[in-house]
Amino acid sequence: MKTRGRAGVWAWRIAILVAILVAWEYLTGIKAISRTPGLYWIDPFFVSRPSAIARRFVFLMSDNVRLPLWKMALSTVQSTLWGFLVGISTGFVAGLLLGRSDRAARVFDPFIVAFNSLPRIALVPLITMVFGFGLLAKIVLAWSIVFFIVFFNTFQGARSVDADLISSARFLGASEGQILRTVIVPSTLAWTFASLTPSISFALIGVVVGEFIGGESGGGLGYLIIQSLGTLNAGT
Amino acid sequence: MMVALVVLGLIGIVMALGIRQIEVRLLRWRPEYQKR
Repeated sequence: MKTRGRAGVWAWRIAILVAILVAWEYLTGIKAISRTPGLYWIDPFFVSRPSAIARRFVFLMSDNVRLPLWKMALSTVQSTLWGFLVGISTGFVAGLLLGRSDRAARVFDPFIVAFNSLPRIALVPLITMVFGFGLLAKIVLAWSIVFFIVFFNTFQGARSVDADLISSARFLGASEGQILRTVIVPSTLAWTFASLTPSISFALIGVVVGEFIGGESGGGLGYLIIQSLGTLNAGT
Repeated sequence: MMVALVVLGLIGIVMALGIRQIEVRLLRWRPEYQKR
């Protein structure tokens, strides 16, 4: 019964996707009002059509271009994963340290709030100047976003560890290191794990924004988008 | 541009689903997330 229900959901999803693609393919280029110039249901200049996109995809994947599409995608994925990994590890450590130390949390609070309030996109030129046009600048940008998501979650998690559990562990003779390892870190990790899914999406956003400006040498899908804008080749 | 957007969308979906699977597996060892 459960399998049938799941198959039904998938069938609906595929049907909706096919309906969208078919409508997109056939409505593109058809004029909404026949005598009005340039008024289409879907303007081919801006959004192209699925068949043309598929042809362009095959061309960009081939060796006829300077940098094949798969290499660009690989560069984006690589930067995203590195930014994500470095962001979650540093965010977790910083959140745990500040979450367990009232004094450190009070001291660093204004700096963290100030840096987090800065729009990351404003930092792109500076980060590109400091770290160059390669992979590192994109990783740093992704890190600067992921770090704060993980940091705030871990910080909150470290603050909300059950005090009774810590007292019980201490009463049973556990050392501070053992309390950290067996009580605080496991309790905090649940909060950190909850921030992983939004973090990967934001890491990807950071990398693509970084590629808009600094993608020349390493490529990347953000660079491909900006290149298309430069040649007014928005459709395909 | 549309090719890049489609590929980016696919990468985003695959990454988000992958991380969600990892998240579910990591949370499974906690008693409150275990299946009864």
